[in-house]
Amino acid sequence: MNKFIGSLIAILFAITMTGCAVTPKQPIAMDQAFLSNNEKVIGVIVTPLPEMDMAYPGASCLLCYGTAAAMNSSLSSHADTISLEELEQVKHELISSLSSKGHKALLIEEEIVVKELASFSAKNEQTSDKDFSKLASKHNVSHLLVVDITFAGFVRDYSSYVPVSEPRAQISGTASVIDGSTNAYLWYLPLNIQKNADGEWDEPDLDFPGLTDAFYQAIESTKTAIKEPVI
Amino acid sequence: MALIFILVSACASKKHHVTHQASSATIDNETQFMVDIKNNQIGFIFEQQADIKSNRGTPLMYSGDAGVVGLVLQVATHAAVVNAMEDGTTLSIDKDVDIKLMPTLNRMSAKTLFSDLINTQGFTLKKDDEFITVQDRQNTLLIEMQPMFYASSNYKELRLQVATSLYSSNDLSQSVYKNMIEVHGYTKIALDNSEDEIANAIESSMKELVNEATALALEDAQSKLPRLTKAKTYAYSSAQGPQYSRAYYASGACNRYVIRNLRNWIISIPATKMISPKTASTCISAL
Repeated sequence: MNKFIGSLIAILFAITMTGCAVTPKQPIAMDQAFLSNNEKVIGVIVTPLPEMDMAYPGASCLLCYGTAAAMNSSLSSHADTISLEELEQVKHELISSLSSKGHKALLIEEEIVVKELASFSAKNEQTSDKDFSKLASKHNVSHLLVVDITFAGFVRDYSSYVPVSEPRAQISGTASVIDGSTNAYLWYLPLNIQKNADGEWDEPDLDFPGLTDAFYQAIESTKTAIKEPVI
Repeated sequence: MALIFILVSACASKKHHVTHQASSATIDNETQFMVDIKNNQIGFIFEQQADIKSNRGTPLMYSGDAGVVGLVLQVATHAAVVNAMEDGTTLSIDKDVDIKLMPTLNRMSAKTLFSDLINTQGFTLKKDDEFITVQDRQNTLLIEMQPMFYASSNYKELRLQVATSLYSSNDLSQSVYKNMIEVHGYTKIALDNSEDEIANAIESSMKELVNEATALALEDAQSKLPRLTKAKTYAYSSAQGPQYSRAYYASGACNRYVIRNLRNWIISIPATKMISPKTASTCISAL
């Protein structure tokens, strides 16, 4: 009986891990027909930004994570003082860019959490597995430009208890344009912007100037990556 | 069951991203000009920007608060590079560097002394084995400099980073001011210029950068470059693509932005290079 339970756990573990290893969605280049058509109405959504965070990939056991968190506590405290207000401004910059190109664009201020949207049975990789059509209909827009930032903060790689990299600034998420009637992606850009400190990073007495500068560089690079295909 | 629950939770919390890594739009190589302090000569070392960046962890990013250890590290690395320069071992020329300028630079290296770059009206040059030092005419102040020039591969853009210390002539044991000053500029060269014209244009631009850096150090030492605004991200163009610096606005001159970065370094950038903010700086009331 014990052997059976052991095998069952092993199988479930394998299934679970296979599920985790799904290939991430590949980028989809901006549909140029979308950009050249000024008849549409584009709703711009920037989902609620995450809190500044710390991540320790490789610190996989609970005690390892605790050790990593303790080791980087002063950087973590400093991260809490950094505002993401300048990143949030991208929504106004997108509206401004789209309007200057003759598109009708409106800002959707409603707080949208993408993973909480209803599922959509996507037929292929070019279609979202979330249903944006109700949202588009509700706000009377034909297309949605969605910026979904899922991580902003500092990342330091670990091998169990041992740090194997210096901390770096990182902003991750996605930017996409979705057809409100079909849920098809007209543009999909996975974002994973990483910046290292220029020079020394471990300067807690000076409020980590190298890493702080790197983080603001990451904000600018993120905004550029999001705006460039639209401009 | 608990184990399965933990595994499923861990999987569900994994974020759906990771593929695209942003990088600078254009990668250009920067050429590093070392100043050979022992001989008061300007040496040229051709290295890729990436190689230069990898050095920045310790010596080149000299901070005002680095203290003696930082200074010693910087001197040690500086000396190592100078030694390598003397051996001729680091002259690795990247394919993107415009080799047409090589003979010009080598000639210039042979004829130009660092002292030629100093504004001799205000200062006289002194030197020892480790630092370039200049003395003001009133003999009250000694400025110690560790200059490093960087040029874009077409030599149209120059940048000077100089670790600067000021000493009172009465007490040379302790500096009254220490900081890194960085000045960005252009050279007025065209490829149809003669070798002499190119060499003169580069030299003239280097002279401007050195003298501006010296002036900024003196102003900063007199607390004339305060933080005038809250920190913001300044974006400016360079041969390596757009550069960003989180900094405070420090001084208003219409043609230049003088900013103070988070390490307290002073950085002077021509207004024509600024991407944002676009407001010219004297226009201080507008900021």
